[in-house]
Amino acid sequence: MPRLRKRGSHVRLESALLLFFAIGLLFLFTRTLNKSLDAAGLKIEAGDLRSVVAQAALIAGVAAQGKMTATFFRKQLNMLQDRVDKTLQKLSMAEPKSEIESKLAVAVQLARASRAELSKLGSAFGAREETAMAKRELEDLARQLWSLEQAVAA
Amino acid sequence: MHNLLELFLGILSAMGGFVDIGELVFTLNAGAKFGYSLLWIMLFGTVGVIVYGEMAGRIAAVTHLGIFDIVRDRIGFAAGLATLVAANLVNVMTCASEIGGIAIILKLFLGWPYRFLIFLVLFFLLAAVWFLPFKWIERTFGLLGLFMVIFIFSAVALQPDWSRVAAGLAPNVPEVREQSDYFLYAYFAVALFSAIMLPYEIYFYNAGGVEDRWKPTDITVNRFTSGLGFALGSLLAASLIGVGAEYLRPHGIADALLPGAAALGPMELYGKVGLAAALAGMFFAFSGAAIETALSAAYSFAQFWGWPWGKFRGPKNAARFYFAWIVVFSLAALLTLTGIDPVELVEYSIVFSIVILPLTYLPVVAVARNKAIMGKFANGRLANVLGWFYLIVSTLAALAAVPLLIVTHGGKG
Repeated sequence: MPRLRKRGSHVRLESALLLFFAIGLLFLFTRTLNKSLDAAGLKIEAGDLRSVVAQAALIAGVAAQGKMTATFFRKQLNMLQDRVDKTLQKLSMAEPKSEIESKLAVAVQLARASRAELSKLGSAFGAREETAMAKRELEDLARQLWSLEQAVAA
Repeated sequence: MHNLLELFLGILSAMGGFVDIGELVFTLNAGAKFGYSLLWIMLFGTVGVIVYGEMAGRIAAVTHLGIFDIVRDRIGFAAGLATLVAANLVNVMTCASEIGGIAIILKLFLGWPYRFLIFLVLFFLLAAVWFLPFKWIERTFGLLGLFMVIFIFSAVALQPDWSRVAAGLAPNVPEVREQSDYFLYAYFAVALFSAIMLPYEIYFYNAGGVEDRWKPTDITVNRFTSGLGFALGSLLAASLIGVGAEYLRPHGIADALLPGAAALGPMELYGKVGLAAALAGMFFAFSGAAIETALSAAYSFAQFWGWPWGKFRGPKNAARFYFAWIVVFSLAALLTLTGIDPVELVEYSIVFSIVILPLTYLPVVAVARNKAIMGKFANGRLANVLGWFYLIVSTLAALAAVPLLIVTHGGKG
């Protein structure tokens, strides 16, 4: 088959793309080593936590309508709990910049409260009133986390 | 009549096999974060994947060459080898994410331990590829992946504001709360584009043409399959943006725990039937994608090194090709067994995919337009213009991908 004439620009482009690929891989590995926490990092963690808590509230709502299987309920909540545990661990071990120390303390407190609510919800499958109550508590926590995010962003 | 049925099944298989875990993650989260604002990227990327899918299928029908046959010939041994290594690193990462995703789905359905399910999934996939003929693999997983249409029903049942949907089809920049959200939007645009134009889909589609012994007379079938099949598949993926926008976003969920969270919308709307359809659809779609990535890796190795390849040859006549996909499945399962989060893994594999995309698409367009190779089946003017246009866009996206990954803290914000 006739070959394409190879040009210098192709080689430069290929090298650039492969270099970017390597930088990306390097970023992937260094990300896991970084423990310092700034405002942007705290906002991300609070946002993650809010998403988890909001999903748990949603699960509680669907379960209260009797539309969910017990296995799905338990396993999905377990995974959400794992995520809260990871966030809590990250927040507890973080070395915060001085300007976010008080907000980090609030985040840790909310993460602990989230974990407690999730574990309460985990044992409430089939009990409509308890599930509905857990849903309300979780929605309240989600609102507090949202306020925290806004405060960190400001 | 038989040919029409074949064409119809081919289109449906392409549709059902279109969505994988990467698309699920980025479409649902794109909808949850930005509503319908990124729908235009779906439309834009779909035209791109149709253009390159059609070219890759036409090359298979006319020349019976694989993508990495032409990668090695066109960009030279050294750059070709680097592309091969990078492409297969991405293939293993993607395959691992699919295996992890399937294991999570089974866990949500059966409640069995995750690591045990990874082994079960590995054996299931190995057995499926070993025992099923190529066409059956395509059809079984493609057609059963159509359970995913539950997401189209859900997106419509959630009663979207159709004027907002239509507005999202035109390029736009959404109103955001903070400056950093613009970078996040750009990151999602690049990642969605990459998720739609994933290189392994093109390797697999091209190799499938060779496996199915396409001839130049099959070029019309190729046009319909790639055109309609990918377009319908993309509609399925777009419905996931709808579910994210209409169901997750109003509840304040910006980063869903997938794949389970994807089933919540269908479950609320259709109860346990909705849950079963969503889990079954994702199970078959991810299984099909895991097989595609493992086979794509084996095809690319075999094509690059000149080994005999193809399911149709059997293990005796293509031993190294068979060995290669078994190794890829096993490596991917091992990676998943380390406990790595499959969703986080697929986010990285999608970003790395865009970086290598131009390296594999450049040789495709170069061969497809070459009259000395393709004869009267070479690209027309429209295919040439679109081919070069998408190559330039994917190169720009490739150059932006890693900086955006870093600026957005790995797509977190």
